[in-house]
This record gives sequence, structure tokens and C-alpha cells, in this order.
Amino acid sequence: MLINSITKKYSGSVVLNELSFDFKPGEIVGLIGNNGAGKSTLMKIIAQTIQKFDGSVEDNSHVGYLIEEPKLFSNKTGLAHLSYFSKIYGNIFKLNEYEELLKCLQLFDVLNKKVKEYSLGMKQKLGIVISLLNNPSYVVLDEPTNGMDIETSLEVLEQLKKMAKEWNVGILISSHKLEDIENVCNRVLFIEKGNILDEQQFSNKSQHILKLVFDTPTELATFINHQEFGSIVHSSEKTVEIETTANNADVFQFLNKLGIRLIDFTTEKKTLRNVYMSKLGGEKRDIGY
Amino acid sequence: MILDIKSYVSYNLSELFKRGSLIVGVLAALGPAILISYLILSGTTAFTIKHVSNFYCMLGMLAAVLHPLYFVNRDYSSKTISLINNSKQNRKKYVLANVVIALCVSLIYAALGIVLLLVTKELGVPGELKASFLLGFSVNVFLLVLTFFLFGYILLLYGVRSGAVYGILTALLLFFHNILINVLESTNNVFLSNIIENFPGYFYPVMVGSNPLSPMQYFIGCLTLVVLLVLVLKKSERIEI
Repeated sequence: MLINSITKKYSGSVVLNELSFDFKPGEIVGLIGNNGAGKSTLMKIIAQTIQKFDGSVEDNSHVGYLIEEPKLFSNKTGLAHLSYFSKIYGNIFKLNEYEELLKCLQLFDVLNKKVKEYSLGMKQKLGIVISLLNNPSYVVLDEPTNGMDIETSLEVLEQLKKMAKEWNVGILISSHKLEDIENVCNRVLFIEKGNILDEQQFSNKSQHILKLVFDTPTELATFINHQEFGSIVHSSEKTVEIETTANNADVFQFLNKLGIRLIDFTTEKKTLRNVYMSKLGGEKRDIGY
Repeated sequence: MILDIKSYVSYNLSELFKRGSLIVGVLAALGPAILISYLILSGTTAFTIKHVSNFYCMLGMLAAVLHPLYFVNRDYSSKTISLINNSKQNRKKYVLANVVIALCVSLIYAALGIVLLLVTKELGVPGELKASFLLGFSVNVFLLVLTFFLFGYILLLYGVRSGAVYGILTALLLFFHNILINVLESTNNVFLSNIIENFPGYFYPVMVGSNPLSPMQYFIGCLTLVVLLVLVLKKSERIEI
């Protein structure tokens, strides 16, 4: 799916500003941003529930979605929902195809109960299953683990991982629970004020951030010019932060060769939380950890 | 994913039966008509077959308009419409699917009305029952149901609460035309009389069970229907939930 230069304005104020990215079937992409960053609007545009915007979205004709709260009929049973949202799109709901998923999500035994008897977490799970009906190529999930306890969240995320792989479904997922995103996503997009601020791959779990403080700016420049350990995340007058998989001993050996002495040295595992804090820090109140 | 109109219509029509609301609506339509037929046959009143048809339409048309509107109201109030309004094509198909439901409901009510009139005539209720009247009755029911359904639909799309929409439709179908009749009877102004007589809010509820409409009224009725349909389609195209 190609999201190409999307701009959305609401009464003059820009919610999304020429935002572009792509994602493929089978890939799970995380969307992180503070409240009001434009995540839900972006998801609604991808799901085509918002029609008026500038830019284009390609290959979004087959998208399942759960955006904001699950939209359900309180007087219908869970099973009636699955049957209804299959039938109106010309398909027949086959319970056996979804049995494993429904059992894993602990929905199977309550399918004949009316939705008004469901907890918020159960409604969320039903909303997720509805989004997976009718063989979508992509699924867009906005805060899918809302109202779920930790154990259930992990089960749901595991299922999503499995679905993405087995059904070759591309999943775009937003959550305020950074650990959720970190556990499930291949790639994370940081979105702020309608712009993509940064993109991070989370495929390599051994990545960490090295923070090196040099004695002089010249030594820093020499190091930057010669190093091949990884990409530079941040640098200032005497300090540099590098995202790398290299071990500390290799870095020290390299510094010795160059005859450079460090003032300070720290290493930190690359987690979504510390990347988030460096990219979007300041609004810590929005994060649910 | 493309909305399947046939599946949507069949599922929701069957729900109308299963929930029992269609039965309640039909009983509400038939009740007064059967009662008046009984009174006519027992010689208590001097009414005719057209009174039977009028009494049938009194609550019958209100029920027939509210049945299809229930689905639109249900989908918008529960916001499940956002699971359907996911492409321009589906937005259009959703409107058309509900128009088809309204059409089916109007056909059911027209058919039941005709059966009722034929049976009561057979039982001896006086009055002429020409084919032209039955045809006019069917067309009137069809036009009235679709027009008032689309009017209610547009109100819902503009965010009018369902209780208010049902209230407005009830007032229009049961009471408002009586005010217009009083105005007509008390005025000598030909222009005003013409306007009232050609106003769909007047001629549909008054004439639906009485007579075929005039060519001018049919023209205005069809034009109103087209305008309302275009308005509903345009508004549905833009609406964001």
C-alpha cells in the first residue's frame, strides 16, 4: 500500500501534512504519536471512511479496520456480527475458519451472547475479528488492546503476528502501549503534528545506542569521519550517539587505533521507549507505561 | 470490499420479519381498516371502500416509512455505518440498498392493502373498486413511502436525533395535512390553494388511499423524490463518522 503525500485539513488547521509511506502485505507497521498527532485521521483515510483529503492512497480497496472504539450493535450477538459483516460483503461466515482465532481470543464461548453483555476488552477483540473478515489485504488497528489486561494484550498481539504471517496481511497498528508496538512491529513510524518525524526498524533486537563524549570537537570529527559502526542518531559539539550492533570492545579498539581518548561512554539497549523519548519526549503524560 | 446490495437487503428484510416489527406495522395498518369494514358491514356507518383504504393508510403509511428508516438509524446511531462507508461506491450502494428496502416494504404494504380492499369488497363493503384506483393506490403508496423515507434519511444525515425524526414524520403523516385541509377550506386565495394542493406534504397523506393523483402532483412527487435522493447521495458521499 502506498500512502502518497496526504494532507488533511479541518477548518483551516492542518492535521496531516504531505505524509507519505508504504507498507506491504505480511508486514506489521507501528504508528506512534502523541494525542492529536493525526494517527486516527490517517487510519480513517486509509480505511476510506474519510473521503475528502489531498494526496492519494494506492491499493487500499481491501482494508479491514478497527478505528477508535469498536462499532457494534448492542442487541446482536457476537456471532450475528460476524455473520452480518460477512454477508453484506457477499461472503458466508465459516466459523471453522475463525475457530482457532476466536478460541485464542477467548471469544468462541461467548459468541452467542449479546454484545451489550461484553466487556470493553471483549468488544475490542470482536472488533479485531470483524476487521479480519472478508480476507483483507491490509488491516488498520487503532489502539486494538484498549481495555485489555496485559495477558490478553499479549495473546492478541501474538495472534496478529501470526495472522500477518499466515494470511499475508499487512497490519498498521497504533498504540499508546509502546511495549505492544515493540513486541509486534517490524517497523515503527513516529508521527507528530501530521508529519512523519522518523522511522525505525525493529527487526534487529541486538541494536543499542552508544553515547560517546570526546575531549575535543576535532576528535569527535575524526571519529565520525572514520567510524563504520552504524548510523549517527544525534551529535553535538563533543558528543555523538550511534545506533549500532557492534560490541563495546570493538569500539574501544577502534578508538585506540585512532589515538582518541573518551571523556565518557554509555551504552543503552535500543528500546521503543528510549527512541520515543528522544523523538517525541516532553509529552510523557500520553504514554501508558 | 464491495457492499452486496442483494445480501444487505435480504438480511435486513428478514430481520424485519424476525424482529416482529413488520407484523406489528401490518397489524397497526389492518386494525383500523378491519374495524371500519366491520362497522360498514354491520350497518353502523355509511362509509365506503375508500374509507377502508384510508383507514388502512392512516397508520400503515407511517409504519411503512419507519421500517426502512430503522436500519439507517440503527447504523448511524451505533456508528456501524463506518464499517460500510468505506468507499465512494459503498456509500452509494448503502443508500441504494436502503431505498430497495423501502421499495420492498412499500410493495408489501401496497399488496396487503389491495388484498384487504378486494376481500372487504367481496364481503359486501359498498363503493367502486376500479383497476385504475388500485393502480393509483399502489403508485401512491410507493411514492409516499420512498419520499418520506428519504426525507427522514436526510434529517438523520444532518444529525437530527432519531426521536425527533420519528416525531416529525408522525406529525407530517398523521396531523400536519389536517391543518392544511383547514387552511384550504377557509381560504379563497386560488394561488395559496394551488400551492397547498400541489405540496407533497399535503397530497400524499390526504390522497394516498383515496384517489390517484393529478398529473401535476405526480410530476411534483417524482421531482421531489429525485431531489431527495440526490441530496441523500450527496450528503452520504461526504459524511464522516
